[in-house]
Amino acid sequence: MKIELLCPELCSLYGDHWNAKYLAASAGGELVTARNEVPVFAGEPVDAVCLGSMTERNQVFAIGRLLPYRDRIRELIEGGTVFLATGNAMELFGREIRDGDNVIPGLGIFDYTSVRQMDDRRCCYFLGEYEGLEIVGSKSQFSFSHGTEEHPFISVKGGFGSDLETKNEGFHYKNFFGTYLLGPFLLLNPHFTRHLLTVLGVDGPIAFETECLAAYDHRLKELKTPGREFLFK
Amino acid sequence: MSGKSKKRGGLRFWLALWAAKLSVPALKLTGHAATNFPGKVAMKLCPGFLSYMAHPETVIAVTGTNGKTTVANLLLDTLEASGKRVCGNRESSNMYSGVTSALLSSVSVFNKCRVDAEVIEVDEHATRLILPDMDPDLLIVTNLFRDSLMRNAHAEFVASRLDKNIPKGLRLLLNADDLISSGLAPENPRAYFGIEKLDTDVTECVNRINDVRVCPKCAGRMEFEYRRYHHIGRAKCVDCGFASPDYDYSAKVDKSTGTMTIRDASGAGTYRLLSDAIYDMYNLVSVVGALRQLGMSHEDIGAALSKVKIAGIRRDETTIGGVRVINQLAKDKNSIGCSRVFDYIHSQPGKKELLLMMNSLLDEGHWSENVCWYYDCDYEFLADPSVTHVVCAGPRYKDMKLRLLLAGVPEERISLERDELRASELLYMEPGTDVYLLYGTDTTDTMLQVREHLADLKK
Ligand SMILES: [Zn+2]
Repeated sequence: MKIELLCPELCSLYGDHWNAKYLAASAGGELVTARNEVPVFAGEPVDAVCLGSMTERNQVFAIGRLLPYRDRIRELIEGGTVFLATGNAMELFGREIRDGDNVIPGLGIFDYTSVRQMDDRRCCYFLGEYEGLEIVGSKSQFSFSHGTEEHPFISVKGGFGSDLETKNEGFHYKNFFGTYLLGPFLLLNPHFTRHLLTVLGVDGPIAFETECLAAYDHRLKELKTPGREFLFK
Repeated sequence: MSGKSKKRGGLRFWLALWAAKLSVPALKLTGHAATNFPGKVAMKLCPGFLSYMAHPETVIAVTGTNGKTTVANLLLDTLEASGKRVCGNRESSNMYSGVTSALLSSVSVFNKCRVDAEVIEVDEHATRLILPDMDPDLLIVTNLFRDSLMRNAHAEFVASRLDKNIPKGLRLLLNADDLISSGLAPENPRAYFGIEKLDTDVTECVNRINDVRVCPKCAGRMEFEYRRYHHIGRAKCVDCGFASPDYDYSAKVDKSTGTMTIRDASGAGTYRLLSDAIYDMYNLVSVVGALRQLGMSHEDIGAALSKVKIAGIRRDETTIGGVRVINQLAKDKNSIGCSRVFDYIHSQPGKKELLLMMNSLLDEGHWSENVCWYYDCDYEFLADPSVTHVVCAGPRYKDMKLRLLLAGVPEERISLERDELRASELLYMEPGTDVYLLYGTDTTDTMLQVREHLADLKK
């Protein structure tokens, strides 16, 4: 079992890199990263690929690095390889990122587009649901994605979705999971991590399952307390 | 009117000045602390109040992620010790209202400036209005790091905000060893401070956060000649040659004598270190650099600094039942701040026991504190065998335990209790093992209660 952490030198914000680390630890797999900027998946099969939040400048660099492997990424996604893109990493896989007059072409794997407004950041705490599993977390967005509705990932119960109008968060196609939820998403959502392990064909507990569930239950209770606010002002 | 003001105030300004000034004794009479309220009154009655107020010949603003309070206070103390009348926002916030409240006392009811210098600490986001209104002579940027995620996003974002907010022509004093803030407002006149290679320096990053992993110009690999921690150090891009700027105020540290020699184009001076912590060395060199920019000689700066007592507000120790108990501020939501504290504690000699209670109580009341910062923070330092016991307390106690386990702290060394007072009872309090009470900005009172409780238990 190989879990690839993609572009760790570029996508290093908010502790998102823990998703790959934790998935590898839970699956009893090996955490691998690129050598000389060539993704591991380019030359050998991997079971899952994780990439996380990055600065807006690094989004451009990351797209540049991954563009030569666009067809391979498409092939892997169509073949059922697990992809987890957290925070603004999801935007890389879309058609483009618009920032005023500046249009940054994305990898074009999916058809959604993202619109960035650096002077209008939105933050929220989040509660949602995916296939009966309650999902918790937080978001900090300079941009919103449009056109994700056909393949939504999480339905929103508290906070906002991929854009301010929708009640859906993220993008889910086959085993590609993209979400603006940032940080250690898998550590915050042990039930979803177990779900991913099942997808990967692994049976058994996740790493530090007792503690992870205890922290999750505590947070869920807090977020479900009547009168909780979700929008961060 | 003495002093300089950017604009001439009309009736609105005079009303605002008098109302704000009157609110100070009124608040005191009613038993309220005069913190930000007078400033709010002034802002409400006269937007842009600071631009009408008279300011002295010397106005220095200090911003940045870490160290700005220490640097601003140290500048105030040093200028005062050299015989200047000074004013600054020690007691109030670093936002517009706090700065305004603080500076009210520097002018008379006729807007006559009564001080020789103003030194203000400014929140990075508050620079947008404060800098153009006050028109300072010098802006010091201590450094830029990741800070509270929900408020600041990432350091590059804060830098881009500062780029927009820094007025054209404002003279800057920047940290050459910080590749994020050293590139701010490239058109503005500037001087750089930095610290020459130390024997504790490394080249590879040992911290989780390293925000200059790739070259900001070309995404090439950055090679560090030396590195203190995180992205602080001297680096060069192997691909395009982009590199740290040269020092105008270059500090050479001599730990054996506890001094630092600061060299610039027209001389050098040797100064006593504030402490053995690297961040305090940066604080000192930035203060000396700023005073040199004002034209003070090394001799005069040295003489004034020697009269200044450094306030130990952030670390404070006492002995309870024969055990050294240290209160240490570890700012919640600030992964760099906490990493520095964890690093410091792990590097101290002897055994240590910790009570972690740096929770955001404010967040707790509204939502559920975002714990992303735990995963950016170097909890790994606490896996050191010299850290014999860690007690997790407060609303996020379960998240803390999980993070400690992931950091490699053995489970038998971790205790868990939601209530801070009961949690303190779980401390072993063994003579010979130092106890650290780590508190955040919201839990200062909790820490004081815990300390009292520990003392009561030993009576
Ligand atoms: Zn370069």
